[in-house]
Amino acid sequence: MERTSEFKNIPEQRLYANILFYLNLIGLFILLTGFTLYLTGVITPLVPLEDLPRFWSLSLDEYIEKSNMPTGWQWISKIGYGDIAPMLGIAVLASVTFVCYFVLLFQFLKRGVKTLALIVSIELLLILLSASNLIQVTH
Amino acid sequence: MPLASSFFPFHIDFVRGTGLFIALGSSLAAAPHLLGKNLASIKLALPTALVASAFAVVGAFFGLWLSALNPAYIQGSLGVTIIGIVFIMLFAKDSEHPSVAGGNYLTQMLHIGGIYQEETTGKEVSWTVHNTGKGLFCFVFVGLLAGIFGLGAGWANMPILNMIMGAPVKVAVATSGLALSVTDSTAAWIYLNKGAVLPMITVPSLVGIMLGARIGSKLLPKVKPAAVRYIVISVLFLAGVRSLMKAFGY
Repeated sequence: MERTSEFKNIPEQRLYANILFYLNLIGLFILLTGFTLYLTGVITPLVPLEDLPRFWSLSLDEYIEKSNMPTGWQWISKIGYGDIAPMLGIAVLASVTFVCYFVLLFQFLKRGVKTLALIVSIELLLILLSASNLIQVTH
Repeated sequence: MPLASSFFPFHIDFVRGTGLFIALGSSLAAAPHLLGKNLASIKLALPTALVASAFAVVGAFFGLWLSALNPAYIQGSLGVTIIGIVFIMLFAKDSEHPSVAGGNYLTQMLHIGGIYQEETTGKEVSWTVHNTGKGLFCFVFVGLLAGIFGLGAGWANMPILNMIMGAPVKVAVATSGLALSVTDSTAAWIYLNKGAVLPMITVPSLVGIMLGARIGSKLLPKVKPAAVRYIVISVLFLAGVRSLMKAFGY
């Protein structure tokens, strides 16, 4: 059981804030780099910029079918395309919480704070599950 | 997100994907500063975010399934939800320091509470919460709405944390953002994997909101919120009405 009193902030708070801050900066830098390469045309996109307005009003299924855009983790194999390159930054930002929680888990286990370690573990599993693209719903 | 879905030509699927990343980006950017000031509490965010994110996954799949059947279902229910938010914002009364009778079993088990320094008085404020079970149950709906509509749901987090669970208003606002960064991570991955994230829409919004949130988290304690509140309420009301009109083909 946790040893800190009810009114104390947990010591991991500062560590979490620092990791979050630096990962945000890294993610933002990767995102902006990818997007600049896309906008400036340094890398050719899968869907040309001038054709994009024809696609963004389509439903998701129609868009995927007509644009040949990757789903799941297939974007990694197409990272060389301009409109896919910003996905790396987006994925980094979507992973920030996972990394922070992973560090929290180790800190809680080291301190023997079992209840919070359990909550963090379940959350990590949830994020992993949604990121894995293993859950599929058909319609 | 309500503005983009109501006034721009993008399909609701892309708007929801972008909406989740906007919410995620703003909460990620504001959280370090608020955690450093001890206003955002990890102990309070952990259980609330866990419940909300579990149901955000369910909501994300349900939302994508529903819009594949007919996008008007999502557009219409989004309009109703936005107008509902307007009424919550109009009539919800926050309490700066709610009186908390004493933590219940869940509160004590999770040791939810903390201390922060109130900048306006310089005094240290100790706080804890009550009604933890009820509060966690409410986060089921927060998660569902976040997943279905790609909404940040900070408008719902704050009243639950403040009015139901009794967290001081500043702690409620800051922790709401931290919890959002967790909740939206799970749902955002689902939209990303489904291909519902268009960089041309998402990246500029994400960069803008992250820079804005960083500045906002520093300005917030000094800004009088009343005027901002009424501007937000008016714009949201228009977006809600427009969303409903779109659902009915106008």
